Amino acid sequence: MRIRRNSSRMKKIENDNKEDTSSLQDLLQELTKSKEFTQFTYPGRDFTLCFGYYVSLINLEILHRDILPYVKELTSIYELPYVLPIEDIVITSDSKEIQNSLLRGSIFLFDINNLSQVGIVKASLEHVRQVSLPEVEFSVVGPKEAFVESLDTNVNLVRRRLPIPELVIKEIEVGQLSKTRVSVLYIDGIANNENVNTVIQRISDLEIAQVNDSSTITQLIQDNQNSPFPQLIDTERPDRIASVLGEGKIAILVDGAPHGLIGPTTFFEFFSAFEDYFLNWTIASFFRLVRFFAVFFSILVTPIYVAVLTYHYELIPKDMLATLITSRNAIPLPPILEAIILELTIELLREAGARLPTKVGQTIGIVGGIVIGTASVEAGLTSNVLLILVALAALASFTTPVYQMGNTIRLIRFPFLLMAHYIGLLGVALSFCFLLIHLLRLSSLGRPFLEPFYPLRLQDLTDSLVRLPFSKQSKRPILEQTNDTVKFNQSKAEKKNDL
Amino acid sequence: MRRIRSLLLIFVSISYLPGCMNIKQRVLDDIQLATAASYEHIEEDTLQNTVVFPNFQTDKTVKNVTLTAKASLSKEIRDKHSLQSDRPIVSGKIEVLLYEKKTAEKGIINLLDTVQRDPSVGLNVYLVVAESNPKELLSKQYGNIDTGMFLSNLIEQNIETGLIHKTNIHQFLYKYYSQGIDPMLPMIKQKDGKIQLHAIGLFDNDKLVDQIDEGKFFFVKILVDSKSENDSYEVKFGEGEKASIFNINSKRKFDIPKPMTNSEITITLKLKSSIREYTNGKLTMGKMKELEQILEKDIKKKSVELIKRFQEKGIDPIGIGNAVKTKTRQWDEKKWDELYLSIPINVNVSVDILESGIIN
Repeated sequence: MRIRRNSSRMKKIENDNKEDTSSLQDLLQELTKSKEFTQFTYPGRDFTLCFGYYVSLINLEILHRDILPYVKELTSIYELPYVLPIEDIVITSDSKEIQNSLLRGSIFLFDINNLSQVGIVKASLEHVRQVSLPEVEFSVVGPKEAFVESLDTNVNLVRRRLPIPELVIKEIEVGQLSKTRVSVLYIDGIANNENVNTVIQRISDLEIAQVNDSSTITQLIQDNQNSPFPQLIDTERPDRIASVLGEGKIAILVDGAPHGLIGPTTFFEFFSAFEDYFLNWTIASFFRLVRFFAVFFSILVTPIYVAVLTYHYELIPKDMLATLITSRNAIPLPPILEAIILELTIELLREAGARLPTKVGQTIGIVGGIVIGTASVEAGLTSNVLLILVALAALASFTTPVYQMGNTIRLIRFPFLLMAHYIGLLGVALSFCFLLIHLLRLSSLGRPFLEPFYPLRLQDLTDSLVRLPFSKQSKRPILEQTNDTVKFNQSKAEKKNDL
Repeated sequence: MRRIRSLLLIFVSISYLPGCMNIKQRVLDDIQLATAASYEHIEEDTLQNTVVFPNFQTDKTVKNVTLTAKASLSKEIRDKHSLQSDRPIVSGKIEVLLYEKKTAEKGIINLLDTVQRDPSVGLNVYLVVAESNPKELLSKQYGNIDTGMFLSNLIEQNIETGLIHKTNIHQFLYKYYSQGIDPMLPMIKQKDGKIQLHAIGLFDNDKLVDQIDEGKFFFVKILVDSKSENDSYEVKFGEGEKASIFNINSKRKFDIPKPMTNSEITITLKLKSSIREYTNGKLTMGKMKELEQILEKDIKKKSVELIKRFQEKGIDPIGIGNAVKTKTRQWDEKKWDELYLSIPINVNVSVDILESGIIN
């Protein structure tokens, strides 16, 4: 509200929206302020037509090929839908609707003598990227389609995978300036109504000027906005969205965003790559366990190194003493500074690599990996044991399939490090307790975040830490509280039909 | 606001926490890790203590460094060591504690007290009796490793391969405080510049009273451990006939028909063995049966001898008293101690040779 009061521009828009009854004359006056707004008259058979459109938004080819040759035959504006070879034609007198359509790439035309009826013809020019390979969630096997920036294309990609009338798509407009279309997808009869209502209500209640990406929506509608942990999964894979819709989850697609959102979800789902479902369950389960190991390793390894070297020399096995002490022999820094320097170096490398163009980015790897790593050990600033540990921890954090979660894991390592330096392993244990309590308190769209471990739901364990065979997953997750809990008949699925 | 206040409270309480816990930073490379310490009485009330610590060189070699000091209390010695050292000496990595033989004869429980009280010293530290001068023994370096680690590896290796019984502070204290069982410790000596584990010292409570030499470790092991494995034994029979047997596993059982009376106690030993070496031509099934009987007789004879020796000294490393105690309602230690000296103890041995190796 404060923003609106301060901004005069917002005020104007607000006023425009209020005055539904303002005449077309006023609207035209408003529109002609923009240079790219084009207006011209065109002689019809019985009357003179007036055309108006934003040149940047419409496809001029449609105008010249499908509109202008036909309007000459026009006797009344009401004939428009029957004369033009275009589907999306509306006749209206509502100036607000006219304005909105113009801004979304329509042409309006009216009889110069009759301002009350205006025809709106859709002729929008869309620059849509081709559907291409998924880059963040690439999989060797399985479909290789990723979402693009166009909502209609994205919905098309999902609907093609779920050709059922129960797939409902609710559209909400968000953002006073950006007017972004946000779609909520769910399967009627499966998805829990409470979840659906929560999502729709949260999105419609949003007070924001611009929505540029789906991540904006995540940050705005997730249950705890201060938590470093994302509570909605974002994915660029239409197959993943289609698949979780079938489990009773709800998906959110945002126009202009090449990533969709999924909720309610659990902590453990962030570590399941969609490729897991394309591999045999034994292999997929192994990979998942590796990923969970990687998370714990990534968070705990440097803090434990710091704690043990600073406080608990007793814990070091006698065979490792020589390795550790010789590697730290000439290092003037205490373990905590050593660790922080190395961790920050890795973060710097990652950040520099992310900001630079790809071709320059490659050199960053060389500079970081070889020059800084080797040189810092040779210069006696860091021990080579820690260098290996930090590098492994960084590598482990990159195994997380959801990018946002990977970032979180890299961040929460630092409080662990400080506590390890402060009170040793006790500090690591305390930090871990804090983390656990925080995770326990988190929820995703009101559903517990640490399910199926807390609360314990044995049925949901079939697809969390490990992925059991499909025939064992005949029921939808309890987490979703679905209206229809059974996916398929398990006994039929397990029956061998071979003769 | 409430949230911020509670967060603040947590941070404040954590920041005071280290003050309450007496946590001191001891960065690994700023401390001197003692790996072994030896105690010896040089006068009636004066202890001489030597500590060993490794000095890791940059070229991956290890130098053995020792410090020696004298005092009347063992923790006081540490301060005196500190006066000679460039870095604080810490005791958390001690692997072996050595007691000079004469010191051990006087009793070691008072010397163990400081180790027990120190939370950084674990209970898996090995206790050893040194027959030669411990200071000399520790100051010599045996290979690219400091002497503390060397001793620790020496004992650990021999426990794992089954030559000597399991031993560490925990085992020692357990046997010291339990009734009807006495502790044993390995004994080492320096010979021709090498360390040798040459005997097992037998203790009466905490005082060294007797020792069993190398050749009889086998009997100590099969009698002391209720389940033992991996030991080996050499038997001679006839004229120049020799066989070495390897104990795959053995079980020991006490048979106490009437506890706390003078009636006979029977110890049953069941050995499953294999033959490792045999020096008299072809080993047939008949000869194996014969060998089993010889072994049974031999082991029985030597075991009974050993137990007699224990009884004469009034010590009970096998824990016969302990076994009797489990069967007695009102246990009277004094009465048992008197009984033990004269109670007849019989040993039944059955040897089962399972395999005789593969000969092409």
